[in-house]
Amino acid sequence: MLGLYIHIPFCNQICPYCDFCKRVSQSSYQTQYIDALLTEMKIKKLDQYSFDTVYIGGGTPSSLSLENLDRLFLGIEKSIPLSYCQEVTIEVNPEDITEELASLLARHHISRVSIGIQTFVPHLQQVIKRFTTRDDIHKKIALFHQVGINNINIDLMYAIPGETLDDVIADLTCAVSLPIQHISYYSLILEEHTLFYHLYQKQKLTLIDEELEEKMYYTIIDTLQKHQFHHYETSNFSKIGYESKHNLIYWNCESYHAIGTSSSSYINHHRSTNTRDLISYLAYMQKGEIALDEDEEINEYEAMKEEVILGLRKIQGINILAFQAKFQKSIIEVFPQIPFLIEEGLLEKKQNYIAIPYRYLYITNHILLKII
Amino acid sequence: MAVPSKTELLERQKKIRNFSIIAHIDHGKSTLADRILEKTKTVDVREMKEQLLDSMDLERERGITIKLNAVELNYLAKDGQEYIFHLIDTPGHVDFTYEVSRSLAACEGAVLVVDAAQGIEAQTLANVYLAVDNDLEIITLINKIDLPAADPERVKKEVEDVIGLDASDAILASAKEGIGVDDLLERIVETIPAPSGDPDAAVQALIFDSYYDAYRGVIPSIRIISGTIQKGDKIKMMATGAVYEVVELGVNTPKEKKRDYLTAGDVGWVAASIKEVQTVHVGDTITTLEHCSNTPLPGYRRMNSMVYCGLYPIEPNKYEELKEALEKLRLNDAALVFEPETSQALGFGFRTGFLGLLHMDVIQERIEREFKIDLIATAPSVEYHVHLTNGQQITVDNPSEMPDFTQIKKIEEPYVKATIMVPNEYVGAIMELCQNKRGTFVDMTYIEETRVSIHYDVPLSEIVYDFFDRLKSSTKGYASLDYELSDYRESKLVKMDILLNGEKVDALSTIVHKDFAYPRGRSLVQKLRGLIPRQQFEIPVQAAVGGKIIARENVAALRKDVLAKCYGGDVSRKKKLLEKQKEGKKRMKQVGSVEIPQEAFLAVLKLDDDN
Repeated sequence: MLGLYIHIPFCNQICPYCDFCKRVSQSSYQTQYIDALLTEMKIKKLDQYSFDTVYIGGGTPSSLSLENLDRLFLGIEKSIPLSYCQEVTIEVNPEDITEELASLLARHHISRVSIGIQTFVPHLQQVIKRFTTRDDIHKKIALFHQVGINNINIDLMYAIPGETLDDVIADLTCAVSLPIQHISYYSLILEEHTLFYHLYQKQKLTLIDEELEEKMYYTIIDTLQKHQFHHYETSNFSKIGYESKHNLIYWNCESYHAIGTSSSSYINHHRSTNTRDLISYLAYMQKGEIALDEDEEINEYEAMKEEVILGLRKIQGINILAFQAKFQKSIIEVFPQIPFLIEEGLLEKKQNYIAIPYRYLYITNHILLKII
Repeated sequence: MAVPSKTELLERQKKIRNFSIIAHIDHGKSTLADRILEKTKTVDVREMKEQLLDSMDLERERGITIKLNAVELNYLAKDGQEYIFHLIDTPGHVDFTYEVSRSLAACEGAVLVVDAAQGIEAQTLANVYLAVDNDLEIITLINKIDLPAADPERVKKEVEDVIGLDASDAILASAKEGIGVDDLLERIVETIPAPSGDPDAAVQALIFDSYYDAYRGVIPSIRIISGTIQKGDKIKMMATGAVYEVVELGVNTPKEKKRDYLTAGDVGWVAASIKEVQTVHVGDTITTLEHCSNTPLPGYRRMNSMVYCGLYPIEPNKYEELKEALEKLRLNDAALVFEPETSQALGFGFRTGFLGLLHMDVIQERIEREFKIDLIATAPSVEYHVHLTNGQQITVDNPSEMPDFTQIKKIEEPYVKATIMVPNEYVGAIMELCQNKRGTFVDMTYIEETRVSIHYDVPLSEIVYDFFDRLKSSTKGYASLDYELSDYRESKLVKMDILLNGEKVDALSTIVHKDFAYPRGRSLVQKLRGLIPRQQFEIPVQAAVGGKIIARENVAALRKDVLAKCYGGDVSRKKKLLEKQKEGKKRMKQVGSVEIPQEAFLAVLKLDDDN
């Protein structure tokens, strides 16, 4: 599998919890940025590859104007025939969804849409400054269905300051009532350089206590499982067959290219990350140079470590035989703690897979540290 | 290589002035020494800093002198004559009293530096008495007179009242501003007597320090009291009987300068290919086989450890490296003693003896910094005399080796005589502290109208515990403390064990007074609860005395340690995060199913209990 990630660093607003590479949309930059992305595709000779998946993320890709989106897709399609990809995803914000947007996406063979909702609960929406309603979302999903885009993900968030277990259940109730195939459900992470972090430091923001948060997490898993959303990654749930193919490339440690500010690619044992800075990215592209910020060679041991770190994010776990085939080494030989952890119950072995047991899913790092 | 005639040597001897500077920490000793070096133009000041101070980062950071240095300076006095000064540095901390006394024994005079605002402190007083005991001529210098809070007249009166020195001619100085330094140099020439001692007599040289040179072995710093030592002489350490041939000798200016001989009155060093540090003791007398003396100089005693702790490498495979580190440190530090010990919890390590808490801190820090070995140090213990029911008497310096209480008839513990100087408004606080530390009041004297000197007999184990920190906090840092070992007294002591997840951790055992066992047990388990990292299960932390649980806390199970999002762009960061977490874990010791961080072993020391 080979993936392509395209980063759009613009948003209509800066959310108080988000530290992602972003910028409030400015049309002059948008136009230049689309040109720059197309230049980067040329520099990297992406027309020579055959991509299985494409993922347009951000930021908020839907904050681009329809013209710019159109230009972007036309440009991409000159090098990459999107209709041949197994999955082409774009992230959108509820307020950007219109009939025009939906038909534009369909025209350009976008097969999957990921809607950033976060929560349906009004008092929590006040906290994170993101507003929508279940009915509105329902209508907007219908717009995608009308144009034949039937693979829909929604992003939800829990452990928002002030949230209760009942709030989580309310969000879950809304979510399972929607005609969607996939749910990404993340806990709020306090990131530096965000308004929340600032407030937290000034003791003006109280985080959810860990015990409650753990309870929320298991409530989410159990509820979604009951509604045929199977839990396949730490924070991801889907109807059978609707797992995100692109994201699985990351968790399976397969190859991916990436273009745009701050994006990371993983090709030929190298993980390369572009500069985060929009202005210097634009300048590099104007000169026709790569905009590399960091290039890390992933040697065999590091690659095996990543296989464990990322592989154990999958609920199914790591396929021992696939590991053996990939590295010509047994995973137990490389990480001799594994059998002891299995014995201790911190890992479990099911046929050819090694996985984190259900009850320890929320302390995955604790277990990873014992392995690597 | 001929030694000049006796007449010439005696003529030169008249120009020698050997002296030390006595000062409390922060009263300006280093600055004054800098100024003296500058004025005598012996050495470029910057060069001196590199030479003297960079030799040990810790000294500079802590603002204290740990190792002694002796420097030879040439001073052209107002009388037109050139004098030879030997400035012998002394450590300023209570742990090193004996070393100070030997340094002073190498001098004829001392400069007493007193801060013009703060006045005399307990440690200064102790060192002045050492100087008086050694019959030194004392020059009083009142420093920092440029400070707004300076009150030189008050301080002069204090010097007269407390020490009994005539302070009417005290030098008023500001070493920082260079004020009074010329006066001091002249005063040294005028009032400090030149050394006496016959250059032809049998050799008696006092060892007041030693250091280790990787190529030349142990190098004693000496003051020649009588006789002359030359290259090629066979020197003998009178206490240990060891004999060596002098390969080189000389002085420090502070750059090392080789000489052909050192004679009565001189202060310098001898290199004699001494490989065994144990044969060179501070305070011992060196003589030569050529001019052998039968009488050692007075005042020699072996230094005894007052405080012990277990030192263990966090990574068990660093045991040999730790052994080598301790051996190397001992080359420069005869007061450091150690022997192998084994702990069920910590594996193989060393029981290590120190002169005091500062000495212990310094050694631990040097091992971690200079030898890059991460250590676990157990809480310091004193040496107990334990009388068993079968009539036998044993000494115990490791709490985990304390016999079962059924076998013990009585336990005796070391007591110290503590002198605390403090502004009188803190008398109540000091008394409360000393009472809580099982102290016995001896007396209290007024140094001046607003400052007192309080004497208490206190168990050393209480001083080791957290006395100093509490003293500082309860007096806003105004109190100064000095203590000396006095005697052993019987006490009602018990061993307190700590159990983690039901398993006894021997390295966390402590000896406590019976009356303090409950509060300290409670306080310790609370502290440990905060220090022990959470696991996937709940961990009970218990304190037990004689098999009976006296306190319990639980370390709650770990609830959340997961990264919610991890996509292509997050992988590097996630890996770095895990590696950082992993680094933290390296400094922990796995004991059974529980990981214990370094700090836990010292938690015993820093309890905020009500005692």
